Amino acid sequence: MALLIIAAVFETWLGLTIVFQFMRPSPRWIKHHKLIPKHVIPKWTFFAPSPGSVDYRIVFQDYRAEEEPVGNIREIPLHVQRSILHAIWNPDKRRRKAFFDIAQQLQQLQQMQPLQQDRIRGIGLGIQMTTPYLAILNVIMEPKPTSSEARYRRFLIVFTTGFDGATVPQPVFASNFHPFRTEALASD
Amino acid sequence: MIDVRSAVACTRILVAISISIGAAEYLAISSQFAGFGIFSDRVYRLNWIHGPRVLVGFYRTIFSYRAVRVRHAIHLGLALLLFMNLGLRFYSLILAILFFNQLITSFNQTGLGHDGSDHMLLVVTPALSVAYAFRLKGPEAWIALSFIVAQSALAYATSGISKLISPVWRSGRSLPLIFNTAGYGSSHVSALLARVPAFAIIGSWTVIVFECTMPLVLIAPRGIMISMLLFACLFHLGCALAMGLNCFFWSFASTFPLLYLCNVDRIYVVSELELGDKIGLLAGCAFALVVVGAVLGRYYDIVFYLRKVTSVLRNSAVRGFRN
Repeated sequence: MALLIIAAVFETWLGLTIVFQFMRPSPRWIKHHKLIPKHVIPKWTFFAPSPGSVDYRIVFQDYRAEEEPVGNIREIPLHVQRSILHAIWNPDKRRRKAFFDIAQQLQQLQQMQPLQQDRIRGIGLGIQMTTPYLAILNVIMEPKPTSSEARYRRFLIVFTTGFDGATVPQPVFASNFHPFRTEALASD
Repeated sequence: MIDVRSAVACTRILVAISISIGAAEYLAISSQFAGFGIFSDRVYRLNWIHGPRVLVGFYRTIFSYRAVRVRHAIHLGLALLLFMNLGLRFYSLILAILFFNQLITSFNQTGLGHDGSDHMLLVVTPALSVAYAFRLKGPEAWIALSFIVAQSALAYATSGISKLISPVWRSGRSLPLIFNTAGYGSSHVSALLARVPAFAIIGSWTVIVFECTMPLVLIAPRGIMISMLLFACLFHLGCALAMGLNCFFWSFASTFPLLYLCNVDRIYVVSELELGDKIGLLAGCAFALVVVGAVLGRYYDIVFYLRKVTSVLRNSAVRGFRN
């Protein structure tokens, strides 16, 4: 009996891993994706077929009112200069990978909203309530407002190529305007 | 010559190194699990807000900042225990706890921040735990160890094939693109590839050929097999140095002793099994086929692939007819 259970578990696991590598999921999968144990089904297609050739960056800005920016655009620091030490010890890669995953997920979520034509104007409540969106929103709300007039903050996910990000940043996702909490403004 | 016990011990030590580094890294960035961090408990606890109050309360407690720190500290402590000389059943228990703890971490972060090295550990730890539970003997241990070997071979083959079918990889443009990013790149390597474009093409094809042929270590002659495993070590070392993928080296290298073992000494042969074990194995296979078939039919776009295959065949036939 033990052999049967062990054989069934490991062979099913291996079979599902093979199936998940190349097959294109149907819309039904997207609907029921929470049923799939994706945490234990690995995806082994590293940097392929499309190699990651861009760096996602998270920028944010304060607003007096909607469409009335106040202060400069600021960026969440994500990237550091590569060093030999990273071959042994690289804790920051987990944080950076999380931002990378979130940027990709938000981009996909946005593409799944066919009725949302104007990507920069705003996004639906559905995306706003997702974990990736809330995670980024939580991070960008930490820095204090640049001005006492600031009432809202929004973030933008952009991508650049090259180390210094010298290329023109291309926006891929823009958040809605989020008001500061009253206490935050009072302490400022 | 290497026996099962020594090979599995090597795997266990390499797994322990990988888990220790990973857990220590999580402890080093533990501030990210609180307040305004990217893994903040005040965001991820919202993953489950409906249901019985007791269960939701339990969920919030085990995913709170303090609990997460304790879990990572326990993870590190258990990984360090794997370096010590303990009983086989102890290793089994430790590896099982490590697997479930890592699964909880992955579930908590909804997979965010996890990479291929974590996936390899999620595959290796339960199988190693089962193998140790059966004292590395018998068909149960054989299936568990074969699972690690199969996943390792699959990982290289999948990675190689997906690069082979990619025009960007075949043309040699992929390496300059990857190394020109701040996330996974390196300014020195990027400059070198820009100066000598031939290196990019040679590098791309070396990676493709290496990854596609890596499963052959299971059947290759001993000399070639050892050369391939050494090359694989160098490849992962290069990735660690140039791309900062430090845990990949340890996670993937942990499967190499078992790949070696599979090549030089079959762990178990199906024909040696008793009739009851053969029936159990076959029933397990049948179950796996049914589940995989059901998932394939229900969740995958089979029609899309049939159309794709048909169109490729039709185009080839038309080209052949014209020629």
